[in-house]
Amino acid sequence: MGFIPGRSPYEILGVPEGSGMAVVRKRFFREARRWHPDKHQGDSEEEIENAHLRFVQIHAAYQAILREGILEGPRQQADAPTFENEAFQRWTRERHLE
Amino acid sequence: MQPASEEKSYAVGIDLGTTYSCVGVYKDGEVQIIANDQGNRTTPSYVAWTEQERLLGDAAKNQVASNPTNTVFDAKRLIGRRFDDPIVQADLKLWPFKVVSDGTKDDKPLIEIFYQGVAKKFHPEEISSMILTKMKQTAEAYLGHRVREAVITVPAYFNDAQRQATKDAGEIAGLRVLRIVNEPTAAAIAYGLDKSTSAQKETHILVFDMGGGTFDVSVLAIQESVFEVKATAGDPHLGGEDFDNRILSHCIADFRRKYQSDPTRNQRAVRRLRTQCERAKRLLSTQTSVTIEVDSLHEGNDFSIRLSRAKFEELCLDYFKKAMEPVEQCLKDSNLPQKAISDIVMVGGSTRIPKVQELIKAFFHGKELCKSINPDEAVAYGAAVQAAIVSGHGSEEVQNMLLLDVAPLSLGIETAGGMMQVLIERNSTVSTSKSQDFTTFEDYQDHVDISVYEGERAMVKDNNFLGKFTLKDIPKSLRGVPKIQVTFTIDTNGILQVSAEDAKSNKKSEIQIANEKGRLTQNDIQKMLQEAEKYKGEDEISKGDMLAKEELKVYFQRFDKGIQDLDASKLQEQDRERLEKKLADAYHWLEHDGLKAGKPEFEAKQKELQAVMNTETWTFAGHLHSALYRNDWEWRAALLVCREF
Repeated sequence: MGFIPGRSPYEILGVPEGSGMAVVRKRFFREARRWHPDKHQGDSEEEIENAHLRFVQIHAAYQAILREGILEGPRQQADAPTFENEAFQRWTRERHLE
Repeated sequence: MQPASEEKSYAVGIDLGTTYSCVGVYKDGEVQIIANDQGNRTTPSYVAWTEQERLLGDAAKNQVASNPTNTVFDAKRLIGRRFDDPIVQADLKLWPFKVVSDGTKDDKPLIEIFYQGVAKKFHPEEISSMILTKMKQTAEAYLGHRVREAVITVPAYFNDAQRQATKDAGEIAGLRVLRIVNEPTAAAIAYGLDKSTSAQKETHILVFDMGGGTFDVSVLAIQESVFEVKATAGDPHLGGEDFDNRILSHCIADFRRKYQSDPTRNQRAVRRLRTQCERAKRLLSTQTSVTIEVDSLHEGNDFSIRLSRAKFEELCLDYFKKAMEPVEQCLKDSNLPQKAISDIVMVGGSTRIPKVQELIKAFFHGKELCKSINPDEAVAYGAAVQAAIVSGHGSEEVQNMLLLDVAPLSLGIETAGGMMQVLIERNSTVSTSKSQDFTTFEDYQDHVDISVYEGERAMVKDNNFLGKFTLKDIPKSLRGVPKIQVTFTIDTNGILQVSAEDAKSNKKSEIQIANEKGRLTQNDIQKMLQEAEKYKGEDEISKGDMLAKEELKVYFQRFDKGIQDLDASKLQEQDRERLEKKLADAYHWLEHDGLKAGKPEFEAKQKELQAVMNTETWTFAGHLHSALYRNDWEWRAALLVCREF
């Protein structure tokens, strides 16, 4: 899981900051249908890798919002969660996915 | 490039089970579960070698008592395991066929059989590929088209090696494996289609999947046709066969006590007894006691024992209780309270056992279990739907569906002091990736070894070793300077892939990964594929003969039943005797000359019997009509034959 520094999970999913779970979930489903590798069978290797990466990102964003909801109850502020993994960030950056 | 007018080909879903397998296809807007040439919707996962030929499925299982050492089953309990695995070592003692180590450092198990006077060794992948071939042929016979692609299911709790080996088995069978899907997830699709899950509201279900050899529990959230696995847990070595073994041990102990003799070294006796134990177990799901009987089991002694349901439950209670642990674990991992589960879906033959149902029901405080889906076919059903989703066929409803599955085990690497550093946590949604930087410990070091493990324990020694990756050709520099980024990716099949690159040069190709996962190499697979093709030729020759022989056997049975069903007033005693004599002669012919006979001989024999039947009196023939002829067309054909005589 990884994010691009400075972008909140809401931004990555493309929903307004602090959106409710129903909105987040709906958006995640839409994005997941678009980027899940199952929907890219038969595409070029590059396209599949791109889809995989997009999927990993939107899922990580979705998970982060979900986790917040469980741990903190209703959302208080729109801090971007911290992301441990510099290597992954570089990996995504190099693939021009910012 | 394939020509545009490419021959029509279907993608099927195959439930490759420990004891039985099942195949389905999505066609004309619905799933068809396909019956095999014997008319059965599930096929025993058995392969046998007789003097003349290789047998698959029902034909193999039916002759197991007379040919125990050359009849192979349970390949799923071997696949992706090492020979020295304690589970393999324990299973070995119960199998009548021989399993040996391949003698390499990978210590892969090989199954050894005798065919046409020569010892032959097979990888478990090859045995599984033969069963897959049988399922593929079953589907092809039904569809009238080639089948080239398949979705194959595995227990959710299968590890990386077991998944990869199953995928290899598919390739050896000449199938492009579109996806490896977890069995409980496939069952959830079957449930979901049944319930119309396009609803906006989120529902949570728990799938309890206990089959012949493996056990899984999964919790899923279903909403708007998205099937999201929240958590999965299980035991890859727990199922109906373990219960059979308990009954078997109980019977053997009883036999020993009664006759002071030990039948365990008599493979044929054990096999005959096991068959009766399996039967008893099934019956005990609907009746409260059964008698297990085998005539002349060992050293001329008959065996008979009464087994009550209560006794059976007592024999297996520790297994049943053990099965509740993954249920608890799975709920905990999914962060859901018990009451959030709206349906408990029961799949797999072993969920018919009343005690199993009772325990899970009690666990959920008396909640009713969902039994609306067929426990034997649900997995193949879901696999067929997934094949349609992935291959882009299927209705809009199906195309709109999405499966979000998880990896069942944490994945990590060994760090200082033998600790496990987890990179990908268990129950992570797949596909997923994670990267880690590595560097050198010594000046001018040109390679780094990375050991990969799966499992939940803190120390790697307690987890399952997956393999060692060596990063070679690292540009020489002072220690700590190189930065090598290793990325672990779990694909949608739950299979790990590793890539590495030098962060400085950004050149992937400069770092080599030596893969030592102990799995089959592409070379191995190619060789096995060629071997399988060779068999296919042999199979096709004998298949026509086999079919004719089977047809003749079926005719015998109907002939016999027809005679028995007629009462004395309709058939004179002398006629009856003459017919019975004819039948006995024909049986004799089948048992002796029939061994060397081919299709023409079998067909001739059947015609001969038909002629005898048809020259009997008309009243008699009229009564036999219903018993002997499946439809009017056959009946009219028989009348024509009759007139010729």
